[in-house]
Amino acid sequence: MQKTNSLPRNSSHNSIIFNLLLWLCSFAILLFSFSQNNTPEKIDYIYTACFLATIIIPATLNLYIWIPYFLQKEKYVVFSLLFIITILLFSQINHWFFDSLIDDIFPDYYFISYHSNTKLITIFSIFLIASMLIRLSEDWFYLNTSENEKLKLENQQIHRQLNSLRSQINPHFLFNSLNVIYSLALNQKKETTQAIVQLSDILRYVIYDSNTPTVSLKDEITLLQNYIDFQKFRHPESAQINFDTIIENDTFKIYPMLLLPLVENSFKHGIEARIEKTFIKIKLTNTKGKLHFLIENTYDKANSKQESNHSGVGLKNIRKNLELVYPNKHLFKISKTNKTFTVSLKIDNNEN
Amino acid sequence: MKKRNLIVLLSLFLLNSCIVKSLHPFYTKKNLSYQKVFIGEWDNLTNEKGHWNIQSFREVLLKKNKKNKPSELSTDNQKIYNHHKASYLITYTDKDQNKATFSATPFKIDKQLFLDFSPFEFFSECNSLNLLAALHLTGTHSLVKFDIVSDNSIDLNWLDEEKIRELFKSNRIKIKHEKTGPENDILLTASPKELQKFIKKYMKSNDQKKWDNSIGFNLKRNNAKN
Repeated sequence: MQKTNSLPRNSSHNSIIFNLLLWLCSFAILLFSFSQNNTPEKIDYIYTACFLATIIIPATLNLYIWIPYFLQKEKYVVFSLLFIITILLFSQINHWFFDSLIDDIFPDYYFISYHSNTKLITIFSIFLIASMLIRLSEDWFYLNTSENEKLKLENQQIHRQLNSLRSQINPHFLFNSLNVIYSLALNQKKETTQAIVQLSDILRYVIYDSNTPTVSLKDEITLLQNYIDFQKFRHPESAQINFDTIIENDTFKIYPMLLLPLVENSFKHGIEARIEKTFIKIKLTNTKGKLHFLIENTYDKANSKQESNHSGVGLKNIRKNLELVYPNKHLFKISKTNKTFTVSLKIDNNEN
Repeated sequence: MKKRNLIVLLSLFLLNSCIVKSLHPFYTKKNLSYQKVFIGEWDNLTNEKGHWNIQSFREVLLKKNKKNKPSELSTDNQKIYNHHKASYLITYTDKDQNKATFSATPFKIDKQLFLDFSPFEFFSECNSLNLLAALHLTGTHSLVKFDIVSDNSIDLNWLDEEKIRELFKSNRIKIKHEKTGPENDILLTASPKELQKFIKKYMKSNDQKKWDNSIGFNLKRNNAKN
């Protein structure tokens, strides 16, 4: 078979094994049928072998020429005509063969009562259709297997990418956190130990708990809360930080560590000493199987480095993550004014 | 009379028991070959002596009904006429003067003449037969090799059941048939076309004794009765 529009060539198709199995099974079926449920005798074996020989030729013609060159190239009319002509012609050849030629080959045997022309056409039709269906099934099976293999490879690739993205978060976050603790320790703040415990909780979650395909929204909120509390040690008390949640179902499953980079990004670029009345407003809503995460922070357009080459890594990672984890199920939107930077993420977990 | 019927029935049974019988005729319309030379009175001088009266079936039917044309016959007789118009009506009288009538249809396969023999009236001369017994009888066909040696000499040889039994025993034949009775008598159920295929093949076979052991008659024309 050759490459076609509909079914790809089955490179694993072994013609010898396929035909051997097909015709051995056919021989057994025909022998049983021609012996009329009696123990097959020598004459039955001879007749079945000769009969099968007259079927193998049209079936092979159909399997290896008509199907690949006409059926699979969607030339249905030509294929149908050839298929019908083949059946009629070879059933007639079978009739001729058993009417005269076989007497010359086996002069001592009397092959008299077998099949009428109508019965012959029916037998040939059944065999050609059955062999065609088996061949197409084999192609379909191959196609299905290769599709599954392809999907598995794609899946493995996605996981490799996700792990790679996740591993980029950890050192980034750790670097910032150690800076916070260093700052607290340098000023001999009593909150240092508390900060270390909070960081420990965050790292436990990041290292152990988030290594699953999904986590509950409740766990993710705890992470965000811990992170925000931890960051408060680092930033001036004047900074206004709000985290509001409206949660209908806290067992709602989301991809782990999806929201943290957005919060991290806001703290990094929104709370700066040179910006007056800094704020971060976070609103997390979960209703009817949908999640809406909205984060807004102060923004100094003139001096901002938000979404610069360096800081854009976080947002870029989130975009990649979303494309891999929520393809066609999310809406990620960034909007900026002169003073505010807003990111909106909507996820719809409902099956369409 | 009853004793006579029994003898006729027995002789027919014995005759039937060693010849190949078929449910369907051995001929088809395509290969009918009527031979006028067979008409007349014949005696078989060899084996069992007997007398054969051969008539054209259609002529007998018209004569009996006193009609000149087949269209003048009744509907039932027209059916019989059409069925047997290419046949002979044979009245066979054996050495004990038992009579039976047969319909014999001549046909040709590969230049060889044959007769398809089938009983026409089991007890033609007796009106007191047991009707219930008669209702159980079905006329089967037998195959006769029909050789016209000369205008005054004809050979008739029936196909022996033993020959076909040998083919079945050695598993060299596939032909529709049934085995009946305690002796497993073979009754061919193949179609006329299939039967002709068998005859063709049988005639080509290398068996030099293919017509041996069969019931056969060498008939000589009886000019005295003509």
